[in-house]
Amino acid sequence: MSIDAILTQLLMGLTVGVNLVLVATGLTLVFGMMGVINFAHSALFMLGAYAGLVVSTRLGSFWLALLVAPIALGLVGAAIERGLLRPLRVRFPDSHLLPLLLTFGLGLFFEGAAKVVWGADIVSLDKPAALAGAVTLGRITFPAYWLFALVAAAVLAVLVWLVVERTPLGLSIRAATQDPTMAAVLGVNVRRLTTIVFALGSGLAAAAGVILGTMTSLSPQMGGGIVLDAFIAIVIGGLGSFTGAIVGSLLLGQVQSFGVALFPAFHTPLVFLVMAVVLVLRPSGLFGGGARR
Amino acid sequence: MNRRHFLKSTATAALGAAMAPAAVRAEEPIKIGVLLPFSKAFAVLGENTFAGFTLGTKEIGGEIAGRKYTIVKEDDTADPSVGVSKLRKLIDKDEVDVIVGTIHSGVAAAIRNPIVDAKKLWLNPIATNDVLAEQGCSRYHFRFSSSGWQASAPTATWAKAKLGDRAYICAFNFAFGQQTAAHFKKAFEGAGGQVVGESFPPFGTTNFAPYFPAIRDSKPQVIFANFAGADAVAFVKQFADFGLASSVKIVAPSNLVSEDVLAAQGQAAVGIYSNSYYTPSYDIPKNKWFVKACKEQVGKDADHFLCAGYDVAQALFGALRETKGDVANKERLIQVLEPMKIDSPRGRLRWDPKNHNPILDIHMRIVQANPLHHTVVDMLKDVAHPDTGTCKL
Repeated sequence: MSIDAILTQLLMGLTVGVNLVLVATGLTLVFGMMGVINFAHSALFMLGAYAGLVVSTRLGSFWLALLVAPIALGLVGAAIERGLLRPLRVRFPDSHLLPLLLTFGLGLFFEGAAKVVWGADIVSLDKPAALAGAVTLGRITFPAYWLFALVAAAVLAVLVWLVVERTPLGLSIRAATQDPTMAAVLGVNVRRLTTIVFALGSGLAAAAGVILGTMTSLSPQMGGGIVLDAFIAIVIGGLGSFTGAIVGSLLLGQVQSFGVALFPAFHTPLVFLVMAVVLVLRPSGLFGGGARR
Repeated sequence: MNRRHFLKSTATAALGAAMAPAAVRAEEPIKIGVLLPFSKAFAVLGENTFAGFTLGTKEIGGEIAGRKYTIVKEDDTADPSVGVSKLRKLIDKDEVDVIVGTIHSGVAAAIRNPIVDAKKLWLNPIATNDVLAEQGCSRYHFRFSSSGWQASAPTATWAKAKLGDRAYICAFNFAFGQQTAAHFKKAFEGAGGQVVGESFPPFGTTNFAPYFPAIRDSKPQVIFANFAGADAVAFVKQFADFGLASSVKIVAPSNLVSEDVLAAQGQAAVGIYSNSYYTPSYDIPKNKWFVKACKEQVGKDADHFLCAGYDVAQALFGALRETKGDVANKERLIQVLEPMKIDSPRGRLRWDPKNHNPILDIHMRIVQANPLHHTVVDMLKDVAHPDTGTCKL
C-alpha cells in the first residue's frame, strides 16, 4: 500500500465516520432517554434523503435541500414522539417492548409509504455543480463533494457536541440520558427534553440522508445498512453515550475503510469482530456507564 | 399488473370461458408461477421483468387456446433461502404448472433442484448462472438472457483488442460476480492481456471508495465491473467522483449501466462500455414497436429486463398455443420450445439444443450523453455458451 493510498483510505474512512456520527447521535440519545432502540431511525434517514430530493428538484437548490430536509424531519420526529410514543409510554410506563414495536412498525410504514409515493425506482440526488470534480490535497486527489461531506458532517457533529457538552440544555440532556428518573426528580423537564432529543436525532439523520444520498442513490430501503452500522458504532461506544457514539462511529469508519484494503476477503466479519472484542473487554461499550439498565 | 387490468383480463377470460365448449370450461385454469425479486435491492429489476411479461400477456388477452390462465406472483427478495420457500409454496400450495423466474443467480441455483424434481417447466428470464448451462442444466430449464460466460468472456477478448493490455476486476462476491470475473480473467489472459488485480465487494455495498486506492495503485487501462441495481449506481458515481474514470475504461455486463440505473448514474456513466443481448436503440421494426409498447402499455422505458420478460411470455404462450393449451404434457412443451425461433425485440431468439441456453448476437455498446443512451459500437454474432461436455439434458 502506497502512502497516497493510506492517506486516501484515512480520509474516506473519516468521511464515512463523521456522517455515521450524525446517524448514531439520534439512536444513542433516544436510547439513553427511553431505553428503546428507535427502529424507525433508518426510515427517518431515508425520508430525509427523499425530502432533500423533493426540495432540490422543485427549487433547484441542493443547499436549500440540506437546510429544509433536516428541519422537516426534525418536525416529523417531534410529532412522532409527542403524538405516538408519549401517549404509549404514559399508558404503559413500564413497557420497553411496546415503544420498540411502535418504532418498528413506523419504520415499515414509512418504507412502504415511500415506495407508494416515490416508487421503487432507483433515483439520484444531484450534487451541486460547484462541488463537481476533485481537489488536490498535497499528494492525493479527493473528490470535492466527499471533502464537503466530511467537513459539513464534522461541523454539524461539533455543533451538536458543543450543545451537549457545553450548554445548560446539554447538561440536562446528559443527565436525562444517564438517569431520566433522577433527572426528573431534580427538576429537569424530561418530557420536553425527550421531544427535543427525538427531533434533533431525526434532523441529524435527515442531514446525513441528504449528504450521503448524493454519493449513492435513493431507495425506500436505503437506510437499513447505515443504521445497522450506526447501531454497531453505539454498541462499541456504549449504548446511551454521546461521546461513545462519536468515538464508535469514527472507529467504525476506519475499520471499514482499512478493512477493505487490508483484509479484502474478511472485512464484513471484521466489523463484528471488533464489536465482539470491545464487548468482551468492556461489556457496556467503551464509554458505557455500566450501571445502565 | 394493476387492478384495472386484472379486472379487465379476468372479465374477458370469464366471457371466453362462458362461450367455450363444456369440456374446456371444466378444466382448471393454467397456473403460472412468477418468482422474482419485488422488494429489496433487486426490486426494480423484478418489476421491469414482470412488466415485460405483462406486456406479453396483454397481447394474448385472458386466455390461450381456449384455456384461462392465472398468474401467481411471489417475491424472492433476491435471497436464496426466501426464494426456495416461496418456490415450495408455488409448487405445493398453488400447484402451478410453469415457473417464471428469476434474476439473482444464487436464487436460481437454489431453486434448480426443487423445480427439476417437480418436473415443472422453468422459464428463466434473467439469472445468468453458468451452472444452468453446464452440470446443472436441465431439459425443463430455458434461459432468455445470457450465461455468465456470454456476459463476460467475449467482452474480455474485445476489450483486450480495443482498449488495453492491463485489466482490473471488481465484481459482486456471489455466483454471478465471481463466475463472470473468472471468465473475464481467463479470456483476457488468453488473449495476451494481464489482470493486475481483483476485488469482490459484497452485495449491497454503498461505499466503494475504500476499494479505489488499490485500483489506482495497480494502474489498469481497463476495469471489468460487474454490479447491478443500487450497487451499480454507487460504483459508477464514486468511480467518476474519485477521478478514476478519466484514466481507466469501464467494461461491464449490461446490468452495470442498464436503463433502470442509467438516469440515476447520470453523466458519471458516459463512456462506459457494456455487453448486452438487447439495446433499446437497436433499429429493427419489432424493437421500434416494443419500445413504444413498453412506454404506452406498461409505462416503462424498454430495457433488457423488459425484453427478456416479454420473450418469456412469447415463448410460453407460443408453446401453449401449439399444444392447444395442454400444460400437463411437459415433454411436448419442451419439444415445441427447443426448435422455436422467437421474433424478439433483440432480433431472433433461439436456443442451443445442447443446453437450452440462448445463442446470442452480443451488442457491445458505449454510453453517450444528451440524452443518456447506449450506442452499439460492435456486434459479436452467434455467440454460444462453450460446450463443456458436462450438460446432459
